[in-house]
Amino acid sequence: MTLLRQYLRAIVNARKLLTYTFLLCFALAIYLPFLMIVLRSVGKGWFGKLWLPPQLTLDWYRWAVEVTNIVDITKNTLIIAGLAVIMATLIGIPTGWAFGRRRIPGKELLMSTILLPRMIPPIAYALGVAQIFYRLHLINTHFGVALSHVAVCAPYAILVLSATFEGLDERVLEAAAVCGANPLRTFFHVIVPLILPGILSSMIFTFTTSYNEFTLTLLTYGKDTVTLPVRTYLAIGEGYWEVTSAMSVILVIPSLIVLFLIQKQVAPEKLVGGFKGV
Amino acid sequence: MPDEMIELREVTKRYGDLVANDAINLKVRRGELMTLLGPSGCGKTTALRCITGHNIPDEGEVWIDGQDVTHVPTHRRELGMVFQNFALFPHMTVFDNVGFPLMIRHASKAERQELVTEALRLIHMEQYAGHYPRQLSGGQQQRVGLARALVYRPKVLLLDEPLSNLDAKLREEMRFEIRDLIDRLGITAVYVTHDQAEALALSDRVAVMNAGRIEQVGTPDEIYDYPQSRFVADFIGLSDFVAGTLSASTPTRARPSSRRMGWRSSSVPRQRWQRAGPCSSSSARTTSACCQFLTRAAPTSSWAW
Amino acid sequence: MKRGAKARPVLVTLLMLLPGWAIFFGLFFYPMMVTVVRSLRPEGEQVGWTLEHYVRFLSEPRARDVILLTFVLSVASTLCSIAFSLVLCLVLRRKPRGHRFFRLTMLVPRVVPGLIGALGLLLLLGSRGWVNLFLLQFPFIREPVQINYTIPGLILFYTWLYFPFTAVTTLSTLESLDPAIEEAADVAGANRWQVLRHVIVPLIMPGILAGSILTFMAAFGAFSIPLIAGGNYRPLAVEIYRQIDFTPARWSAASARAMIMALLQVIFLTIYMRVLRRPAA
Repeated sequence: MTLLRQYLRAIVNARKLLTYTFLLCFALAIYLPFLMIVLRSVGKGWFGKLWLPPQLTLDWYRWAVEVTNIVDITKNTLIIAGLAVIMATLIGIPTGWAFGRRRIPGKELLMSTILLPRMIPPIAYALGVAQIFYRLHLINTHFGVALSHVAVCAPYAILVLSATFEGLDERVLEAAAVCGANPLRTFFHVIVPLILPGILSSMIFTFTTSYNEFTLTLLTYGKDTVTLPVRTYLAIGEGYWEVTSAMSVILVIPSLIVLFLIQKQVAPEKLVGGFKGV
Repeated sequence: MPDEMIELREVTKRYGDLVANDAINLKVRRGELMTLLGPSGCGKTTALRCITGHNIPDEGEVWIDGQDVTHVPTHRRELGMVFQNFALFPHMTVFDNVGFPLMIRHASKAERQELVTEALRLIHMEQYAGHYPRQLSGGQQQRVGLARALVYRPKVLLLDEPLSNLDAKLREEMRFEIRDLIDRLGITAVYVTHDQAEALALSDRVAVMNAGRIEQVGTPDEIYDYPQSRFVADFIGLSDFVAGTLSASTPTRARPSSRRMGWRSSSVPRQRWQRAGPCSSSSARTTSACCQFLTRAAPTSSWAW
Repeated sequence: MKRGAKARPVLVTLLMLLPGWAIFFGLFFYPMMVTVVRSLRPEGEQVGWTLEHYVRFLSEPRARDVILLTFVLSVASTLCSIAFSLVLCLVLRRKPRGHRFFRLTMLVPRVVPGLIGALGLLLLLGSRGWVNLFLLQFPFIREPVQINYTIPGLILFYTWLYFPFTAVTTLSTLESLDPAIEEAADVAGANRWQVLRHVIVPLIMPGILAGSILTFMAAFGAFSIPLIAGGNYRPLAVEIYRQIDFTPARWSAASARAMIMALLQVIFLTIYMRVLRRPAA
């Protein structure tokens, strides 16, 4: 009896072992690439078949800052992201309000339509955007690049904000009115605090989306509006893995920080596309 | 062949600090319908799941048909189970649902056809063989669940509050259908419910549970007329509790002192004085012993037989 | 008066929807129209209609290779994503220790720019990367294994980047399964594999397929990855971009290719939707 029990327990434990090995390999597969980038960015004299760089240095970061003008590039990226956030939020609020609080025929279909620019790879319509921008002289302007980003940022903003407005209970507003608040005070004291988390959440999403956006930037940028993703791409083309790695580290840190900060508040589905059933 | 089909020996199941089953001992005889009855949280579902194998008890043993199955996985215990929320496979037709256990056992197509049709006939649903669960009413779904549980003639049928999701009238009808089916097939059954009318109407024996323990096991008559604890007395039927002093007693009857009662015993019709709960004194004859007595209201129409 | 009162909320709603519609139209719909028109114009001209770009592209043997390559990469990586997501989600739903961390890890490829992920994978899988250093420990492997710039390698890249779409929907579908249904299968005598095969997988298939659509579409239009890690293999998106890289930029040729890609995507999507609708009978 005990032998059988031990045997059964061993099988159960083998399954557990397998499970954890699998999960470990999964985590390694996801995180090792980033580790490699970090190591490359601080390695000196790392030639040949070594596991770790023989020496550590910050030279590459210094190079990135001095030679490749990374400070200006980061500034560009942030400005463009900021503009994109403002525009996307300004679009998202009224649209989200309409979706969240009004009955609209064919709402599901409309929602899917709004998400189309995210579902269809940007290269398909980026061509058209670029041509339009050339004609409007929006190429190589911060505003132009930010505007192109709005195509992929606005859907997120609309999604998050419509959920936020949907969650705004009508009865709370009625209660405020009963308590004696006029529409203006209701707005400032009741509505704004309630929708602020949603707005912030959408702003964070939008910011990271614009910050990381590559394809649209590639087609609308110029020498004054080089962003981090584009510069990283150009660096890869130049072939200096070390400097490229340093730039990549600078590029990727905000995204990872944001991810771990907001992980508690956000449903994963929203981050991935918010595609609710086909 | 042992007389007991199912036996729980000192089964204990804990969830953290909560003791869901506390050293439970239960014997279910071959061919009988035993009901586990009790309020929410009393541990009846936990005990049932120890029988099915979805719970492995922390201590104690589970025996089915003379074999220790405590560590045998669920799918090898040869049981049939009916669920509260029907648990039909939504992606299969009624026919496939009922035939699922046969398909698992690699029955031939002809065998499957024959057994499933017969099972559907038993529950009067032959014409629904091609329907999907979502096209059926609650009662129909539960009948399909019953057929699925019985199609391969298991040794034991387990029912976990099978009628709770049905409306009252349907519940009463289905009660008798279930009992009828079980009788016809001669199967041993364990039924879990919190509805005492159901328990008293259906069962051969009832195990009343409370806070992880079995308070009393007996026939519905025994439970109703001779409750062995205050809880059972309180839970079953309508009762009033009256405190009194034991003035005289024989092994089976006790007469309270009428002075403390406030009314004369003869003025309350059909009352029966039963001793509920142990007496604090070892000698039952002394007047200083204090026990609680109860009076039963006349049997209500909740009795089905 | 009454009609006016009823019309106002509708008007307000329409006004509120206007910015969203404007953006959709201006940054997506109109650009697509521009691309269509441009694809039908002679190179560098503003007037005149021609189909030469389509004809020239489709008649090249290279065109077939490019389209085939794009399909192969997309389909293979989608299948790998499905397989991997299935295993991952079945493991995760039992909530092993640290499952929250792993759920977050599932999202990492979607949160970082594709470029960076590709760079990291290039470094990891390169001839001096850790994977090869590990493989070289084995006596039967004498030389570093070439993973980058190969088709299997590309499929690996694609899967790494795009499996989160499938994984997220699979996980949520899996978790919404009624546990009683699995218990019923259990009691009926099905062992774990049989429960998986006959009950779980058929029931979560719609969720898996819905998520895999996103994976497929992302893989089909993959741009930044093959741009830096594709080597000599150029799927459609890169082909499109290459036309603009010429001087002078060949906008019409690029537009034609973009339209072909869009058309193929629509066709495939329709077929996929049809396939999805059928099991939900």
